Amino acid sequence: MAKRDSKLAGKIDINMTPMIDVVFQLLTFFMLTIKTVVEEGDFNIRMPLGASAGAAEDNPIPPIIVKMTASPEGRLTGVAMGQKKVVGDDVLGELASADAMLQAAAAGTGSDKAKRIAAAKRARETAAKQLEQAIQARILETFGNDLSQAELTELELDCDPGLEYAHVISAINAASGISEGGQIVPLIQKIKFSPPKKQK
Amino acid sequence: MARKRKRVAQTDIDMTPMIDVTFQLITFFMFTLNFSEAVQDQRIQLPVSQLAKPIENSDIEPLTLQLMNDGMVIYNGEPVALESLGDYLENEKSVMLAASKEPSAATVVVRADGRSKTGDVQQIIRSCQEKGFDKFVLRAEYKGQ
Repeated sequence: MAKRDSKLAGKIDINMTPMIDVVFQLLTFFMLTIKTVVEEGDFNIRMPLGASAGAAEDNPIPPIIVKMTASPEGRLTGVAMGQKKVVGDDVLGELASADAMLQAAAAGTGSDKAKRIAAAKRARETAAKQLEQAIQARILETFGNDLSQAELTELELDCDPGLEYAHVISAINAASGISEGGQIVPLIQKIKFSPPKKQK
Repeated sequence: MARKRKRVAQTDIDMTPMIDVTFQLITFFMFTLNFSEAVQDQRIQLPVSQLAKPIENSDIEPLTLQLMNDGMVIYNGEPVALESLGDYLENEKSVMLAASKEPSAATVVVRADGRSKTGDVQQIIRSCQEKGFDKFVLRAEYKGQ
């Protein structure tokens, strides 16, 4: 029996070539169509319908108003809370120079273009982080040691219409929580935009 | 010579491990394939954040509006002008009302490019408010530390 089996097995030979062809075709297809899925997250903003009409809410704590001004090109030119400046000119200058660097790198040509763009992006990230830290420090200052107040407080963002949106996200990021070594301490959860000014 | 040829014919490469690996790879790529292409448009570079909350799944499909940095809004995969967004939202609203749901029950997801103008984002929010949508989330790319 054993002899006959082995003889038979030796004779029948499945031709693998078409299958392998198809399998490799599939593999190439999936490899080329793949796009890495980036993880995304949300920020809730509270914009109830009544608020646009200017309805006063029965909230004893006055909202924190962060005013962000921008140049016509959309560069951030100042962040203020009340009458007080929040972000120093050094940080704003760094942001502006990183922006200029990025623009120059994107417009330029040459073999090191990708490298220069990456460097400019890194500089921008560092500047954005400083911006966030400055805003966060100022917000923490208003609460003193009582972070329980933060949840009840409302943040209102008063932005120039031309402002680059990434800066708004930076400000929301700074206001909505402190991230300490993977742990997140929530701060302000109610965030809204001021009624927009008339666009010129 | 003849003897040599015979020997070559006898050597049989074992294909099994290679086919195993190849199938593994195919399965991997199949599962990681991004089906949510319509919702994650590649034309948009989201701003980065460490604190953005994970996306919540609600029973009502959220309405996703994606803003490109040139001020065009991607609605259902098609770029439309910001000014005409109201008409599309009116449509969306009537569809929701036909399904006996209030527009305020749906969440509007704003996926705006980091380089777009804040005024345009506010414009989107205002157009939505005019049609009765009032739950908004701003989407950002999550980047842990």
